[in-house]
Amino acid sequence: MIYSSIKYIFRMFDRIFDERAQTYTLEALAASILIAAAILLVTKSAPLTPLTSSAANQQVEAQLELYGQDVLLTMAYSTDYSDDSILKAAILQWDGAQYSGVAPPPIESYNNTAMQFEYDKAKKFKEIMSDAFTIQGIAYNLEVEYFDNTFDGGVINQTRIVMRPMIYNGEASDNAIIVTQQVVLYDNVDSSVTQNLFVGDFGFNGADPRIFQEIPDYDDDGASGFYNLLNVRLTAWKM
Amino acid sequence: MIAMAIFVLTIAFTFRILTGMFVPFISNTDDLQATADRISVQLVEDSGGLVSDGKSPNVLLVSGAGSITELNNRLESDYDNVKTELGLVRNLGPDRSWSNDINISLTYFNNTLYPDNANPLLQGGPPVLDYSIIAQTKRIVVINRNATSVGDTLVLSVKVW
Repeated sequence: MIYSSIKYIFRMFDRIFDERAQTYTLEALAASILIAAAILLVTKSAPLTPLTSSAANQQVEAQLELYGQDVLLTMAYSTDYSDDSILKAAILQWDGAQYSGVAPPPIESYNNTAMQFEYDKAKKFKEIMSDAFTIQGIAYNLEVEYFDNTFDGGVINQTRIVMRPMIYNGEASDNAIIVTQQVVLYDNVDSSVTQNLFVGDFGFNGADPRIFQEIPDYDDDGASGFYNLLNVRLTAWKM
Repeated sequence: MIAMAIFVLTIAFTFRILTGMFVPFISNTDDLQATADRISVQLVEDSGGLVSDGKSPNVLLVSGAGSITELNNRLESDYDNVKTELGLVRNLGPDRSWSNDINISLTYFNNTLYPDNANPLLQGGPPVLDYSIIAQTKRIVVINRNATSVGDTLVLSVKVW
């Protein structure tokens, strides 16, 4: 009896001084650090993927919006040499079809120096879109909105706004930005004036720019010099 | 015991490295970014900036008063006054002020500097420090040096730190 109780006490001491208990404590500590680290990592890395909305992304979007607006604005600027901007020249030489990639090809041939500048601008448009977006890892769609009217005895009956994609590179992400720029097209009244130099020079059936076959005149009979108002819409997002 | 210590240290180390990997993506430059944005607007959109005719934003003047060349020279010789004009100097009381540094450059889209003869047309301000938090705003601008061309589309970078 005495022997067994002594043995019991010794066993208790044995448990108190059991070294494994210390290991368990350390293991618990390690496990808790691991969990805390995992939670911290998850919360810290939440804004990292380019497609998730977050506070940090606001800045990225704001920058991209500024960037896109700048690109459209600089392309809509026309130099003193002639009246057509890079953007307008590219649209005038567009055949109205949807393209994927950088930009639609400009006209194949030109027959005078004035047309060569138009051609150079359309080429420049392609270059800028490639340099400013594609190479920087930014995807974009470019759409053109215009008026399409129906007439009743020469008077506008109904006005529709039609959207036609010019460059389509896929569905935009949630963090895409949209910027717009307006371009005015005129009827070709006088081909001897430089600002209307595209008249009869685009080589398509010897008459109007290619796009005139796709985008209708606002006032059908050409009563005014106004042809149509285009709203060029650029959707851009980081890939 | 030793094994546990090594284990815990490894976890701590891995965690440090992992978060360190993401540091470049976490931006602490909100206030500086606002400053860089504002200065870029001042230069590119305001008629008092580099805008050629005061009407077309993003179209910059190459030479003469209020031009890129003038700004480039002033960033070299008159840096402190340029900083004051751009609102980078803060007065903290008598004879005490604190200011940010700025570096403005004009490059092609591939980041090479736009040349003017042998020198860059615009590359002003002190060189950017390696280990500081820098806010950068990029603006797309047009300069037209040759009346018979379509002009050059370039990137104006404003870095503030």
